[in-house]
Amino acid sequence: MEDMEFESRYKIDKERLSKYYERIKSHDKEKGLVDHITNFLINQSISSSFEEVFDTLKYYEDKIVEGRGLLDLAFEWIRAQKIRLEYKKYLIRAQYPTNDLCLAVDDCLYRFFLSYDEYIRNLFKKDIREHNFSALYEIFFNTFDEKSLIIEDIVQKHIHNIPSHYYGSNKINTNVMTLRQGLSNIIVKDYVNVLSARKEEEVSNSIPVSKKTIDESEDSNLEKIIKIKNEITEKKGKEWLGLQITTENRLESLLWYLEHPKLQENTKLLEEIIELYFFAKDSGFTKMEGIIRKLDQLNITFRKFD
Amino acid sequence: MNNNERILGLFYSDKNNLIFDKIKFSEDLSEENKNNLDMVSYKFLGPVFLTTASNKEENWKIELIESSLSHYQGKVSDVIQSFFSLNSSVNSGDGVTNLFVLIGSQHTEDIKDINEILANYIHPSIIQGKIVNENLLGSRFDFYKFITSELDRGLHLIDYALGSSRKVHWEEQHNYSCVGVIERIKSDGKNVTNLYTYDENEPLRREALKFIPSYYVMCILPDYYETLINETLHLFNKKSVFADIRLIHLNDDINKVIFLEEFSVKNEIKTSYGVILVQDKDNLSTPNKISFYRKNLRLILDGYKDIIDILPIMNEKFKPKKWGTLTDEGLNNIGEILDSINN
Repeated sequence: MEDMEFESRYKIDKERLSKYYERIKSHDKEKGLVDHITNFLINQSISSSFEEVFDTLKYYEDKIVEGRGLLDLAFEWIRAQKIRLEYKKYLIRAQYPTNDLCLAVDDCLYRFFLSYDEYIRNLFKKDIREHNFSALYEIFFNTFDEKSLIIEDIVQKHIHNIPSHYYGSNKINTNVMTLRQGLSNIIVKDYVNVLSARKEEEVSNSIPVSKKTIDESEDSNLEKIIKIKNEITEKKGKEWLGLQITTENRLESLLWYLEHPKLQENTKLLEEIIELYFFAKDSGFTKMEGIIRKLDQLNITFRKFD
Repeated sequence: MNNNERILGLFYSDKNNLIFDKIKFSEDLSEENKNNLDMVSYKFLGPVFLTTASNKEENWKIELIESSLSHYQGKVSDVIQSFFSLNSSVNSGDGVTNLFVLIGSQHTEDIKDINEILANYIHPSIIQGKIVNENLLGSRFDFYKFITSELDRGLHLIDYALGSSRKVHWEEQHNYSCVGVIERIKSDGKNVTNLYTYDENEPLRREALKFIPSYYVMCILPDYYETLINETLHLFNKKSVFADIRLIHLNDDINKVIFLEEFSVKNEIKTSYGVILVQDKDNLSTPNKISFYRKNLRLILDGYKDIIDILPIMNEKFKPKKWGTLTDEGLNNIGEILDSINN
């Protein structure tokens, strides 16, 4: 897939992001490039700690191809979250026979990450070794909440498992092996989470109807939830034009919680979320404080949206 | 036919032409049929090796073999819409490897998507996995175990991708020149197979040889694969359908050849006409789109035109001389005269 085709498929608003980065840079002129870009990424909800982002950027700094820079890598880190979201949406709907985990890995690698590998390699020098790519994939596509993504540890883990091969002086393409090394565990973990969420939903659905208290307000809530889900997924309407990426991410987090089976059992909480969503929407999503507070609460009650 | 009754096989041949296979069997298949299916991979890959070794410098690859399926009169027990084979051939430096998939499905299937899975993911996984694992494991690397596992993964991935209808993908439009017409007539106890092409002394005949594996190979492929597909359908208990070759794609990285065939059955006589087409070589004949050739083949089969009238439309330099391809003698004749670059 050509680069432009890939970029339009997983589009990020580079112009808006660049302006935002310039603002960060102008606020603290004394700090260096890596500090600025780290702050920029942290403010875009990338990674959970300053050190992790800073160290990762420092590690890859000298591996970027001439003519491109760390800011390009930062943009790609943001784009990776977009790809992860699309991949997760696909995985949530996937029905692999006998819950075959190898099939889940192969299918996702082929559908999402093979073309990504081709694309992202253009950002790096031709002679960099394969473990750097598998380490990058582990960092870019991992969840930020469960464990530390310390670049040195990750590289050490990959260096022995994914050697680079040469035929004479030419590097042999082993991209599929690199992808498997970097992403297999992530895909397996994500799919196992999908399976357990489905199981929980099954248990919830198996409760006899007579025990459930169905009333008009529940029906009405259900309709509203469907409406919210459609709006967040389709992103149509004037409110969505020029929306900040952080706001968009927060609304997508909200969508994730709305689909959480446990939330369906808590009518009061559902009603609060619905109210907060429509309040924020009426303000063109400028008044997001209520949603932000609710997301924090949901994070504690359930688990963090990645 | 449910998904478990699909015909699905994945065959891999290494640089020494050793073949490893994985075939998905339906539960009700007899042991005898299963045993007979063991030879299917060798039979399907046979012409792939033959084509590769067609005593030229170019390595010809068979990319696609597709047949149309028809029900025998009064029998509609097998709901099967498509039967095709895709092959990925890769020269990875230390030899050519082939990965060949055989698919029979109740859906028309998105061939392009399946081809990309085969060529861009499964085949590279095998080649790269071998390199990486050999390096990591050294003498502990067990190739048989490795290839069995990879073919298993590949089979599952293709199986998961199946079940869709064929999509129309955007493709660059090409023109094709016809370098041969193959006539095949089959009735009870009597088969006739002929090739019509340039006169043996026509300079364009020698020129055309640069762009096809050989006339010999091109004459063998349709009948060979049609018989083999019918045999395979039978082994998979799909006994109410019969196959007719519809398309064969070959390439040698630079040139692309298509064999396109149409057929009709009247009074229990099956008549097929096919054209050997070379992509974007305007000097061999007036170039035309594929639809032009298909339309003219139908005109012969539907009785509106005679093959002799159509030949100059396919290629103005063709002669109405029949080159028999049914017997070894006829094929050898083609090999010695039409495939000769010296006379």
